[in-house]
Amino acid sequence: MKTVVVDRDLLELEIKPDAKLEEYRGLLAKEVKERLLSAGDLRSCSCPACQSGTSRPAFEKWGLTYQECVHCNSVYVSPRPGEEALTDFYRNSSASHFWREEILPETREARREKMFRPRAQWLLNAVDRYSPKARLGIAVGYHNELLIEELTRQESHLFPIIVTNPIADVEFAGKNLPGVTICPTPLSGLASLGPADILLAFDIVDRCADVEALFDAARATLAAGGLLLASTISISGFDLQVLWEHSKSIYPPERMNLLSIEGLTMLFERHRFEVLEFSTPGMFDVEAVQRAIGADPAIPCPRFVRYMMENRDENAMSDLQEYLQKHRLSSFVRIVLRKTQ
Amino acid sequence: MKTVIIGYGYMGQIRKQVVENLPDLKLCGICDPLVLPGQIGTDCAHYEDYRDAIDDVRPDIVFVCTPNRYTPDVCIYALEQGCHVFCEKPPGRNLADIQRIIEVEQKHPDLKLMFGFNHRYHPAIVEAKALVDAGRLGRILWIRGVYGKSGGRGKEFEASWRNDPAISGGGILLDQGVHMLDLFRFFCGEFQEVLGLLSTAFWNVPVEDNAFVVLRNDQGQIAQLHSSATLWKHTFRLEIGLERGYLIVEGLLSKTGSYGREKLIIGRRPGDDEDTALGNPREEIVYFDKDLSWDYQVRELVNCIKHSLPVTDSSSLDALRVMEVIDAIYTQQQPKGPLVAASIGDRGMQ
Repeated sequence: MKTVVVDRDLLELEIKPDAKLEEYRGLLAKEVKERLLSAGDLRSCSCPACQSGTSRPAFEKWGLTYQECVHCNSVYVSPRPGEEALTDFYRNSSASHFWREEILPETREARREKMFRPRAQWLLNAVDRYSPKARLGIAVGYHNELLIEELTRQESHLFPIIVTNPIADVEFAGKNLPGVTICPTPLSGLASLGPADILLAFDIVDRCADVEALFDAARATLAAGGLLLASTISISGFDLQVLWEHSKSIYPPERMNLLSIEGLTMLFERHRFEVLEFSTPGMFDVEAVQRAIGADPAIPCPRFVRYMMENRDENAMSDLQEYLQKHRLSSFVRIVLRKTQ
Repeated sequence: MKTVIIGYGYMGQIRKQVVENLPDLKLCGICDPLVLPGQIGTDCAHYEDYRDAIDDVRPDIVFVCTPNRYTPDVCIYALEQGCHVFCEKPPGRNLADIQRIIEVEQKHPDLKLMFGFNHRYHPAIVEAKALVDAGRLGRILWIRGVYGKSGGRGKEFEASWRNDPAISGGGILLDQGVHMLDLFRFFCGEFQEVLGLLSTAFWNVPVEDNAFVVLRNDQGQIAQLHSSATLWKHTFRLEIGLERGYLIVEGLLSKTGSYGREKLIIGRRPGDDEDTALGNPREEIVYFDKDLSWDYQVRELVNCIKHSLPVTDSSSLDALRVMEVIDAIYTQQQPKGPLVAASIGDRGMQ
């Protein structure tokens, strides 16, 4: 197993402009209540990572309760909306429209250059290394448009890709990328599109209604030895541990499953995936804590962390971020898994 | 497959672990005249003479883990008795030793012979090779390696057989630098020119404790090695410059961990449309946490035996070529006079 650390010049503000993000959160807060809570169709669930049924309430956001698993310390929303309600939310809510129409266009080029181009390079390297004869890729996650554009730009002989997320038709509207098929499909229908050699699951583990169903579908869809490449947010990360419910990165419905590193490990084992890479190459933990306690001194924060944030320069912050990456303590998780027999 | 291990020092003990890890292999005998039967920590037979071990056990595979002086005789005897052979590096004391082994190997084309260039199987090297072979970073322009250790505790190190030229055939270049030279070939293929400087800078030994080597091949790729027994901090660093980026392997997973955590740094030359500062490109650092190189390499040998495949990795040809380089460097050493690059291979087998 390997762990990857990245050294990249990128500020969270470049891809998430503060004012716009506040507006986005405001819309989310309003619509979570209006669309998801008022529908009244919330279901309780056990821990998505380790399946333990024992949890304690961690905190509440916009009327939804986050539970902390007593076994693996993952944090997750329960009770929660189902897949259909979420799909409707991502397709039709004004928050989602705002994200697609306001935030994405403004930050598109920074995202492309600093997030998705390196991600495409990483992905192609992983394929070169572990599955050089890949014949089919399926993308189940959200926000794949720039990534797939970059993949097709960097690799002229890219394997065909089917994009299946339920709002792929919206995300790829007006796009005609060579070798890319848009086919919105619920998780239950995913296996019928396979067998795939590569499954891209970016931005889905943390937001899906049923993590177990996602991993069942991944196994059923992948060919023997196939690769699952994914990213997610983990509650084990520095900024989420320090800020907890005050973190601006925790919000429903996009961040409903905040699985711990230990919980993720159990999840992968239970679904018989070999872990080839397990990294936390996040870049924003330290910046997020610094900005949060700078903006609101009342946020509870360990004395040492506060002292460090207030009294050390950017070199120390950059060293700390690298340390977090190196020891899997950043909240952004990146994984490469291989389906075993 | 029945196996015996000849030589039960540091490497023999590692090989015992490997044999025990692989279900296809069964350890049936250990031979070492300097080790008592009670010290081998297993209930397999103990021998003092390698011929007795091979004759008695009739093994499928013989692991040759002896000091360099004995390596060719043990290899040759094992091959003549119809055994496949896994032989530690270096493949003897000098070019003549590996040539002798190859002569016998050629008379037994059905037998497999592999040499212990296990660094090829280290995770960071495997990853780097995959990146180079995929071609996204372009062609290799140059390669540079530093590999060294502190020698060890003074008297103990100076008295080691590794520093007795009659037994070892050479110093740190032959003992450890051989791995890096093998990696140069692994990445760049054959080199045609070599220039080397040796020194005995610190230790009271009759062999070199530092070697500086420069190689060049027909593609214009230049390789540079510093092999040292005076690196007080144990160091493994391999840098590969490519057209569209660079790779650096640093640290080496080992039993003691003294070479540091094994990592691969991947750097990319920024594209013309990127505003990243020139000269300070973004890097990814890949850390590895498990060294299975020993197991993987032996598994490869077992695979060749089981499926009658030729040994194409760490083969006798690889051993020969790297010994040609070392032979050229040792031959080149003159007390005075201008340095002239030697051609490699003109004294070796073609």
